[in-house]
Amino acid sequence: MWYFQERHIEGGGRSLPGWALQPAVVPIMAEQKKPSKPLSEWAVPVLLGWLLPGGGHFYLKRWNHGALLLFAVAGMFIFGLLMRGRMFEPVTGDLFTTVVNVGGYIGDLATGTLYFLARWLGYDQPQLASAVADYGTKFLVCAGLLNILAMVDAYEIATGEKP
Amino acid sequence: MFLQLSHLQAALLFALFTSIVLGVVGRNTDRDRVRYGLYVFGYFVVVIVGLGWLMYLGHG
Repeated sequence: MWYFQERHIEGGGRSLPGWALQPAVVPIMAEQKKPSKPLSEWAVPVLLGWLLPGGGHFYLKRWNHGALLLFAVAGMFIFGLLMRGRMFEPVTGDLFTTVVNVGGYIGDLATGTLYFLARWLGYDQPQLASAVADYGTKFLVCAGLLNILAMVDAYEIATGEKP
Repeated sequence: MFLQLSHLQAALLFALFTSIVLGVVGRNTDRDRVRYGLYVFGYFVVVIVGLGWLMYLGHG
């Protein structure tokens, strides 16, 4: 109810009721918001970083960092495969099922080419009753999540937010 | 090929790969990256071993 109370503020020389805050406030907020970076600056490194872990860093000539990211993300992904981890499908249902499966699917997808290559070569592991296979599933998802971090890093470097 | 790792081996491998990525993206200079990566890895190891002991003792 409080948002209908009339609180008079100064807006462009006129006194406005509180519920009419928007026209006066929005332009101020828009001025404070940082301008978004042009797509052309960051789209290529981020896309390359998704397709090949560390690819965005290679594109930005950060060879050592790209190599380390490739080693870590691909290593985690390969160990996940060797441990017979399961890849998620975007199964929906109740909230828990949806969050786990769609979230896991996004994590798997984030490894880019590694995921598509494994799928294309026929990797389709059913869920095993094994602690190691369970670790493998987590390795596969976390490889994707680490790659998302690498993509964010490539974005920040490309836009000059990070040296 | 089915890799059979112990819990400890799997957790240490996870810690290694995660620390490398966090080290690379988490700091701005190479020196800080190495230190931060080692720092994160060290914390992983401490937590892994600590939780292992906690579960062992808690289990009775």
